[in-house]
Amino acid sequence: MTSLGQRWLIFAAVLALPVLVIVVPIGAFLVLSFARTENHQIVYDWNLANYAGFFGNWVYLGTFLGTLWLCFEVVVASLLVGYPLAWFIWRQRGARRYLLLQMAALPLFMSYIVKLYTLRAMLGLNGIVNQILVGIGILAAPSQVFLYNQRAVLITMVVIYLPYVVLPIFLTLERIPRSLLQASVDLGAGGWDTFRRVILPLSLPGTIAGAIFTFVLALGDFITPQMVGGTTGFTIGRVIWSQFGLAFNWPFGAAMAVVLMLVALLLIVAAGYAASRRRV
Amino acid sequence: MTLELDEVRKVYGPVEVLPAVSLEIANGEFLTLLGPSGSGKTTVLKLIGGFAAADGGRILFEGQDITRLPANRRPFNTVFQDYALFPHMTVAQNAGYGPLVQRRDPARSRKLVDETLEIVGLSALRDRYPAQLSGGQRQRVALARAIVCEPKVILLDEPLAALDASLRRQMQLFLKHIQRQIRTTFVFVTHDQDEAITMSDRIVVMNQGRIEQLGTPKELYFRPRTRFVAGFFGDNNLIAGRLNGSTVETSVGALPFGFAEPGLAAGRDVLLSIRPEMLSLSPRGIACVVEEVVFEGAATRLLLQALDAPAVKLDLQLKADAATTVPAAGDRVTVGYDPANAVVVPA
Repeated sequence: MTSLGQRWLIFAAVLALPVLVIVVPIGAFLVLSFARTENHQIVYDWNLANYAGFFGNWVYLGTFLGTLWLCFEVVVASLLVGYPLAWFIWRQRGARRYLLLQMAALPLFMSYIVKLYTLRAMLGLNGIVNQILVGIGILAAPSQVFLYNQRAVLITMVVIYLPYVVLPIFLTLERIPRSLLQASVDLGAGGWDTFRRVILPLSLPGTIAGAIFTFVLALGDFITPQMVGGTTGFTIGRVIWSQFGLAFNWPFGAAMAVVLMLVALLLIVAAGYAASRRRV
Repeated sequence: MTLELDEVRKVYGPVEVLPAVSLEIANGEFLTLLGPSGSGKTTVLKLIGGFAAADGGRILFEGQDITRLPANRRPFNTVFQDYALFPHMTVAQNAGYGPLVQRRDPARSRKLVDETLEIVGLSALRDRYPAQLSGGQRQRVALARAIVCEPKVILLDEPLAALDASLRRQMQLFLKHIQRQIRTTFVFVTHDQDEAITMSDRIVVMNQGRIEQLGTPKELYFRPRTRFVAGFFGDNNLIAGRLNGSTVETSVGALPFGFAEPGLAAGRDVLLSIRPEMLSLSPRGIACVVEEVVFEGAATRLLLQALDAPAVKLDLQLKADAATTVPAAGDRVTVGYDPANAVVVPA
């Protein structure tokens, strides 16, 4: 029998690592966000000036809201591409199904930077997108609209985050017993009714999970906007990065990072609540 | 005939699951497909339901060829083995799924669902989710969902297999009761002989993709026509011998019988089938020694060995009677039977 003291000891030991690598750094950021800089020195005097500066300045708040909207668009586009793809893979039989699934997951094994450069090359003036569009006569000359703007950020993020949508959706689809689909058809439902009333509601938890993954990843991404965003593709991630990397105003950067994290956390909790309310 | 299978064939890869099955199912009857696993009974059900495509032959419903009709357009509904209830819908929503997707009139559908839940005794649980129900209750939801659309035929795929013994007995009577109440054709698949005998109007015994015998429970029990059927229902005594006119020549002498297939030729190797409860202790007959006595309450079972031929073992059931003295192990007895109850089947 373990005494109460021993149990506390085990509990503390299990907790030590997460506390050390997650809670402590986040806590440090939180503390930092209430500090200010004076002659490139950080002064801890517990003021709210950083938060006031963020919410009071439309340049920052506007960029933040714009980024939220961009992430929302990324999520919607990812689901519109990813759900049919996951569904298609799920409908396949035998070896082909898992081959396709592996192919969908393969980008996860590649370097993020390599994928970005590849997409930059594809979307550029001499890239494959322009070549195809010019080749089939949709465009008269190669266009620059695919790169160095907000739309380029959207396209790139959707492509890069696609596996994070496809995999969770596929997993919930795969958990639906085949007999449920047979039962639906047996009771007279056509394909659309079966999809709308059985498959879609039962795959909602995976869809929500995929949406959260994509949203949170897109929200914190500052490299993609930097690489393909040009001047209009400015996101809050880039702003935060510049506070640390260029302006050396760490407390202000930390304050924005805290706001970002709270929004992400709020969304995760809300989505988790929505998913858990479904009886699956 | 309502439903007719005409030389229906099914192949899975290199395996011929059903070589050619022909079967006629009458309107309003409770027909059971009975057989061990791998006998093809579930395949027959899938072919009728439209969940598997026949590789040959025809399926007719009221004279119409429905062999190629998709499952959602057949007027049949299925009770699945694992119930296949929609986990995200309440009992009432599950029951109302058929009318909903068939675009029936909503007011009428609601009434139909209410009535059906009443019939299966689930009115009080209409707003529960499947996860909140017991096995027997889920079973009844699955049944309600299948009968609510008033299908012409209800297909049941081993629906009681997951229930414990006492609940299964209860559900057998319940299913039979419902079937009589709604007067719908039930095609029921099971591997449990007792279940088949208790519930069915007629039973189709299947073995290795073929129909061994089709008949009422009584016919199958008292008049088996194949060795498989004779051995499939309960315990039975099968004595090997050679057919010779009105008797079977066996190692314990010439034994009379009451019934044999007209086509069986004299001199053929056959088995004489006599049920344990048809054997009795009598002054004359087969001389045996009692090997074991088993008291079973309603009956006492004697396991016997023939004196002349030690290879012949007999199983005899004595009806319980407090006044009778039962032989003890080692006693010598003679065993007789009424020839009317002995049946000859091909060996």
